[in-house]
Amino acid sequence: MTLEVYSQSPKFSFSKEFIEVKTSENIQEIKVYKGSFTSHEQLANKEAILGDLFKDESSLYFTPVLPFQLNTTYTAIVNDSFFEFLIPLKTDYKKLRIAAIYPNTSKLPSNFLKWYVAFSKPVNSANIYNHITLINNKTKEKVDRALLPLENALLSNDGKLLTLWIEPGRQKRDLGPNKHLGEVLNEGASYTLLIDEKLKDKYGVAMGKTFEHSFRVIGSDRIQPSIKKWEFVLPKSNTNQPLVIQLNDNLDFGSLHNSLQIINTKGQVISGSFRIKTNENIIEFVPNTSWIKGNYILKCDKIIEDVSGNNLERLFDRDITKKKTKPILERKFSILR
Amino acid sequence: MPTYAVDSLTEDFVTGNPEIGSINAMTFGPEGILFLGDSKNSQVVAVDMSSAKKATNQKLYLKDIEALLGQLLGSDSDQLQIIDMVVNPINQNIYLGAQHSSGKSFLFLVNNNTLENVPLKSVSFSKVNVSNVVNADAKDRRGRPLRSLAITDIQFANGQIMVSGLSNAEFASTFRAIPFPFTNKQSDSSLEIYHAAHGKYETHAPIKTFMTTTINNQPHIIASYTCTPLVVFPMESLTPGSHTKGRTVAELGNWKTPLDIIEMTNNKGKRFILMANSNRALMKFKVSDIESFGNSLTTRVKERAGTDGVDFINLPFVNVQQLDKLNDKEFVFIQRESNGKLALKTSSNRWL
Repeated sequence: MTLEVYSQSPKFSFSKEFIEVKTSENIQEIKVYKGSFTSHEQLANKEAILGDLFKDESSLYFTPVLPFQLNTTYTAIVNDSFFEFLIPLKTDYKKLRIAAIYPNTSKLPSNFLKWYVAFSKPVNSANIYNHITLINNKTKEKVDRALLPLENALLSNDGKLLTLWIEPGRQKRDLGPNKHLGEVLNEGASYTLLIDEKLKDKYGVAMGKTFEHSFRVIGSDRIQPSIKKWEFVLPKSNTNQPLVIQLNDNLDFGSLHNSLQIINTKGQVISGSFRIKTNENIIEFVPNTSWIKGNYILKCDKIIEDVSGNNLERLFDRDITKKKTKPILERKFSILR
Repeated sequence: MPTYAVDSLTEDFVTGNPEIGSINAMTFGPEGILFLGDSKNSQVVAVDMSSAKKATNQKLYLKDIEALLGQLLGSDSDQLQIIDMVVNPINQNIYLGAQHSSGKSFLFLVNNNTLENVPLKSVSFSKVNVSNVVNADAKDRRGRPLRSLAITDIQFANGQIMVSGLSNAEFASTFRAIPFPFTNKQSDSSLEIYHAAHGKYETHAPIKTFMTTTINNQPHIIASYTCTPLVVFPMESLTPGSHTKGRTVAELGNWKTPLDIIEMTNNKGKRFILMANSNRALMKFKVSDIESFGNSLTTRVKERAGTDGVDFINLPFVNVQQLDKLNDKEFVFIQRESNGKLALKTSSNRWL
């Protein structure tokens, strides 16, 4: 949408993507600054916004390298005319919120490793870890060096799923930070993961509401997960009912993605989709075509892990004096009815 | 396999848009070739910067980079982040990679004491895919595009580009060496690195930042992990599919996340490693200390005042976020100053 704010000559209009100046004068330049300015003197130490100029018969256009930010004042300067403009935030603008957190259990083991935070829309990844803190519920104080900050935030490609690591050096037995500071989470204590309201979405609009997730810490989990514990709730043949797998364990949300496959006895892959619902301790598989009576194999990747980073192949911090055992990566099931 | 004499490293480069999704790590190779690690499009892009003009800066000092970037991009500065800084060793041009919350990345040249946008839409380039750095044996093709790789660092040495990465789903370490010039046939190596220097336990650990150097006259990689150990391993161990155990030479204390690591030489020809960390001062190691430190891969390191292993000295530069060698005598760095502003400045090897 192009809004017109001034009707005098030259005629100035703007949108998120570009500025247009209609004029009969021979103008060569549009300069745009972030902020509100009324004279050239005020701009002495300011840099103009980067962008491209384009000219046609009646107008000169300026396209900024980034679309103009919402709810932000800009000043465009054409010769000695100053035009102030702002793209308002729509009243029904849906603000960023946290759609889900994995795991969302009220109890976590002391060697817990990571959360996945699902946002309702793409989040601003710049310095995102500065907005996230872990609070000790008793002292009400921030737990120092609790979360691993990274310059390149661990965000899924759609910008909506953030991986949040508990400082791994403190969670691994015998590493310096673990020896000197101990584990981040102490058994018996309660904590709150806090994501502050100032966190913005990719368009620069703040969440406006602080997110809190409280939990209590139980003993450490140093038992390798096993798919032998999984129980299958079988679908009927000639239907597209989901195959439901009860995990009977708190498994890691991320590691289950792209880690599962169902094949038939001919080795053909059954096409369909997995729904990873670790917060309900289940996985569902919905086939694209109806189930056929017969035998199937669920194949699992060894990287599937529990919430403490122990995977099907090894413990997160493996005791090298103990013998390795071969991981079980396949489960058979039959659809008979 | 026949071998071809390559007249120039850029012989196979094409001119056009390399379609860079994000700039996550940068390094310069020989002949003014800039390598960009692009996590979003899972690629490493080599851009020929040899014909780029030399920047002119009266004094290398930008007092508030975040405000400057905010002005140039018309954005709030908290929507922007500087991801990396590199120096072209041929002409000392300093480049910054910056990312905006929209997902767009920008390359800037420090010129005329400001930042100049370097467009990447029409450049001479060559690129290679690194999508399967994190490998899943069983793939659900209909699965959500959840699993991604964050490239943490890239370096060029001995005719290959090396890439370290961190998965968002598992704590695996991936490290890959890709021959350059890139060929259709990838003969790269994927390594998993364990650190076992702590006696009883071993874990996978992703590399946060690394550099290449010679140790005892052999090419080596010095890598720093997200969980603080400084590890050395020989480059010849980069054979396809191998698992290498690095030699831990130091643990860097309890409050640090390694950010950048470089090598400098002092006026007497002594070699030093400089490392920037979160929260603490710039650290200085002697290369000779690393060379003489133990031989065994699994020797338990000795305790020393909260940090273990080879000795280091803290230099009086705190909160250095980016660091690179400018020339034989100077290094350039980006520092969060006590006034809260992010400044770009230089210092010299008189500190070494």
